Amino acid sequence: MKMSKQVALGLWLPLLTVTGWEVCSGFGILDPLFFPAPSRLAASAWRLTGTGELGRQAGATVTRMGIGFFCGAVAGLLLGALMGASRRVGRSLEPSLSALYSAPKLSLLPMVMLLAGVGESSRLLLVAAAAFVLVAFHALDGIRGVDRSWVELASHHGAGRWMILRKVFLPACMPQLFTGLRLAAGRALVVTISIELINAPDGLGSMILMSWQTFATEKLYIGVILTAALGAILHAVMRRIELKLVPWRN
Amino acid sequence: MRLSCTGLGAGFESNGGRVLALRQLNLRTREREFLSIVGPSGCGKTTLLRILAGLLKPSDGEVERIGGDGECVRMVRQENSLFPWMTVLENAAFGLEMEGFGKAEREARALALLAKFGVTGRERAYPHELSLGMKQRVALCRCFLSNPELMLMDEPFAALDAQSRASLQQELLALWQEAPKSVVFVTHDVEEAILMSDRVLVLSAQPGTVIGEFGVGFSRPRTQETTVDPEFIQIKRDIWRLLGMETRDVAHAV
Ligand SMILES: Nc1ncnc2c1ncn2[C@@H]1O[C@H](COP(=O)(O)OP(=O)(O)O)[C@@H](O)[C@H]1O
Ligand SMILES: [Mg+2]
Repeated sequence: MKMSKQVALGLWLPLLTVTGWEVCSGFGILDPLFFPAPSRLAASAWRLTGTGELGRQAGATVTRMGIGFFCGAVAGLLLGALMGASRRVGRSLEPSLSALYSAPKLSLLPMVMLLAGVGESSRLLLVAAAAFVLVAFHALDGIRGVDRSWVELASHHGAGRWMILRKVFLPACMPQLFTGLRLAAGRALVVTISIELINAPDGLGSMILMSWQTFATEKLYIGVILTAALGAILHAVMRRIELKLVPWRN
Repeated sequence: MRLSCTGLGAGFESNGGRVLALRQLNLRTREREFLSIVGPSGCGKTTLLRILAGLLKPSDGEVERIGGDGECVRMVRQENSLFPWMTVLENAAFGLEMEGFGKAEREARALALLAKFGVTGRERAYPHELSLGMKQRVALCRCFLSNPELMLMDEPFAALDAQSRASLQQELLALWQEAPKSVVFVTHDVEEAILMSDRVLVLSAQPGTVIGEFGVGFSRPRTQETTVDPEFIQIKRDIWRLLGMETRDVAHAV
């Protein structure tokens, strides 16, 4: 499918919602105090962009999420590979990883702050942890799921250990790994916003919280919409990268 | 290089006990001979080829390799014969790559052979974009490029429709005749076995063992015409009778 067509298909629901909302606001059906019209939101967003506030808040969120995701993903990839390579390591670490997987990351925030201080490092640590478990589990699953028959086919043609690693294991676990990365990116965003809603000097989450406390409804909506848009963009970007790097997945 | 096997047996542990796949199987290959093995499904044909390829250790008997300088044996599998993450060209050249040939040379050689097999214009495609017949052509190319002393083929055309099968049979035979090598070709299609081979071995139902041997003397190249030759039909009937007797035995046993 063409890119433009895909975008059009994905945008009909948001556009319909916005149009309906605008029309209802125009007829006075919606209270502008609680539901400001999209046109007013747009004007307000434009103003906030001009003052640089919106860019700063969104930038803070993206940076926080990006650093946390990157560090968590790299660590998760390394640990998942190690656990996949050695049965002993895999068996001995799986229960702990499962525990970290099921623990709601936000519930760890106070504890992490006790350990790492109330600054940025605690927030990054938590975002990283969220990405880390997802990537580690998917990398592990990916490696464990490599069909032995591919290994046999490669070694039958004279591939040694290194070549089997490069030509079989690496590509064969790519699809699974990418599923993990995509889920981890989404989760990293959710955790970032959630942390900002609890404790952060900046970021979209903190902006939403402040707007709520000061009853700045327009800013509140802008924050929420921007967060949702960020999620959609993130998903689309990850998909593109995946298509480039895993072209054999139909 | 020739293979000589005596008293081959193969068993698998499965939940519920031991499954015997091969029993007391004797087999000798000959230089530059196209040898086919037919047998009912599940009789241990794949197991036998995997043993001959050195991928599986027999539980009884042994495989002796006689003569030949290298020990290059290559197998073409029935399914999953290509790596899904490699393009057609990469798959075809994989054997050469593992042997250490540089990119330019291996790709040139692979392209030339692919073209001969009628795979042109699809070199950059991935296996999932190809028809089954094309995939098997690529797998055959990879096998021939390694220039093995013995080629093992495990029902390479079994899943194809009759037309693609007939054309692939002819393409394989044409290439083989250019430089005949020892081939062990497994199939459950009796007509295919006779058409392709110098000699046909018939295996019993599981556990597989050799129950018949037929020399096939028709001159080459052989065509679809060969299959209506009275002698061809006679061999076919004899093999069918052997296989049919086997199934009747099984029916009695049950
Ligand atoms: N890895 C295995 N584990 C257990 N049983 C197996 C295994 N491979 C083959 N078998 C059994 O051995 C028998 C012969 O299998 P196979 O060689 O694949 O037959 P064919 O290729 O003639 O159809 C079958 O009953 C099959 O179930
Ligand atoms: Mg088989």
